[in-house]
Amino acid sequence: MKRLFVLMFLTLLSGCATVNVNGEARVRLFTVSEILKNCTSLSGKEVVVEGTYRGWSCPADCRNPGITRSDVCITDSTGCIYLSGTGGLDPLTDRGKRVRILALVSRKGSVCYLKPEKVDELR
Amino acid sequence: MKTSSLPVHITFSVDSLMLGDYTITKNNEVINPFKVTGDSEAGDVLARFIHGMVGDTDGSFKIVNLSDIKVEDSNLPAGESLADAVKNGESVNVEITSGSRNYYVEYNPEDNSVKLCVVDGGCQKVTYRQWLVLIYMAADNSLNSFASEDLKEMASVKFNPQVKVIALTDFETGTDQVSESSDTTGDLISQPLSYEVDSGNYQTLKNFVEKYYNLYPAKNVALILWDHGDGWRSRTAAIDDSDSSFLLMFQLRKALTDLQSEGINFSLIGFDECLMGMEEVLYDVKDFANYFVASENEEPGTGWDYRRVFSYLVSSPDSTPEQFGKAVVDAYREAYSSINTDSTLTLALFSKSDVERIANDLNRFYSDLNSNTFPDFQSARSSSQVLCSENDLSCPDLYYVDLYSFASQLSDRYPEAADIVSVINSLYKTVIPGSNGKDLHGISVYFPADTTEANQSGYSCYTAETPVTCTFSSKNNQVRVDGYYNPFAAGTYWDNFLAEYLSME
Repeated sequence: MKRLFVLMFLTLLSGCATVNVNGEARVRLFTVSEILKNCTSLSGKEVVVEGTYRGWSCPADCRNPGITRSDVCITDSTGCIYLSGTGGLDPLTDRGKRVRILALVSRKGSVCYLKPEKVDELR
Repeated sequence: MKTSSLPVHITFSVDSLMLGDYTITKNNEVINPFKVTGDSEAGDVLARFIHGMVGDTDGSFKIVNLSDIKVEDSNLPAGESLADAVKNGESVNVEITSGSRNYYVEYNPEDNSVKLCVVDGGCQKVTYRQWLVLIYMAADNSLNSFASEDLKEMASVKFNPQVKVIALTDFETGTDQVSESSDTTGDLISQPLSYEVDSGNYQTLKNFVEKYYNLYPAKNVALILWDHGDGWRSRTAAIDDSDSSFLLMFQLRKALTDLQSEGINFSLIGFDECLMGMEEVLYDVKDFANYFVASENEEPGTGWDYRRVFSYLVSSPDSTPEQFGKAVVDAYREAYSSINTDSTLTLALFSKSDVERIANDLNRFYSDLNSNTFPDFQSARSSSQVLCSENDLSCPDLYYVDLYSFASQLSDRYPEAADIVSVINSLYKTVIPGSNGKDLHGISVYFPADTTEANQSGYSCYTAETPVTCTFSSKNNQVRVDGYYNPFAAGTYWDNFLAEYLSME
């Protein structure tokens, strides 16, 4: 219920692109650069982001928080961000897939990353 | 010696044999064979030769006393020193008498060996170095920055000639490099390579080990594999993005088998990687070392604490492989016990006999399994701690079962289960509980609960006992590997147990 409230709150905040999550609510879709730019204010909050699952093949300038050695990254047209862990996908065989991720924005030191709560493949 | 008398040129000799010469330029300067020869490789040969001259073949002499020996003869021309001969790549043979013993020491530049030979008897290779630690850092992927951090940790240690560390680093960005502890300065010196290292190719690993094993012989040799890891199917004992290659366990085994056929074995093999603390992985490498260090769960990005690990080894170069392995585990505990992690961290030291005992116990489970006992195993499996199950977002669907959590539920009825519990209880390990972590005990085994889980996690490849074309599948994607086989399935009956179990499910 708490999650639903946050998602609905985010929807009210923005008139930008929205997506359905679990068919429960329409929430704003964040870009990677929006998350990175607003990491402090978004920390601890849920976001939805769509991008390409890059597994362990990440751009060199993508900052890795190193929560685990298995952390993966996603990219969209605005940037790159890491997830803690693999998001439940296979870092090798699932590389290149389009994914939608519901995640908690988190920080480790100065590195912003996502703690995934739900990862869906987009067809 | 007073400063005003410097510089002083010194020639070192034993009877008629000239070892080399050196010019002292500052007070209190310590002179060693590396300084006399002016380079690490020739210095290493000279150091070995000197140890051989006093009859020390394994570096166990704390003091090398050259006054107790007599050089009877040598093949060196008048005026040529031993250091010059080594640097010129010449064969050297020196006859020695020590008390009533007669022997000779020879250097063969063909294989870089120094041997102590008894007249009319056999020869023994000579080394003085206690440890050679080879680190294969496959960082041509998302771990690039952590390779740099780990190299900095290593570089913070002042090494001595007793401990040689060589790290081959395949970076994603920047130039690939070899880092080597200097016997002269004690610093870790990195040299860029002129080519892109393909760390996912088993030949690269083999060439790396061959070169430095022969160049810097040591009493103990450790091989540390540094990268991502995902257990038995590990396509990721080394993954290289630039070359789109990855080293699978059977390829790692091939590299180690080839090296063993050349007489190269290890005292310890370590995996500074996620999820490699599983029976399958340890079984695949058990014939190539006596001790193994690996993590059952994921490791933090920063991995092992190399500053602590090598500070220990430099201060205790006489450490046995077991002691060194314990020090790696201790360093991990010290590095991470005070941080807050979500997932449980583990690192454990395994002996070859631990691995073999567990494999034998798992084999017995296959004999135990029938329609009457199936409920026992099914119940134990369903109550076990499972790493990387379907709903786990930290890793793909792997279905690795904490072996202790499984065996402990059977230990009152099955002696082999009790034995597994006993082995795991006796492991030297660290377990750092995570805030959201599982109750882990240091070692896992692949165990899908049903055919759905089996199909999600590469079961068909797991059962490949001989080379086949294998297709690793995730939910919607596939990667084909030619010549794949699972050495653990070929060597044990656990795959048969799984087949039987899944057919009963």
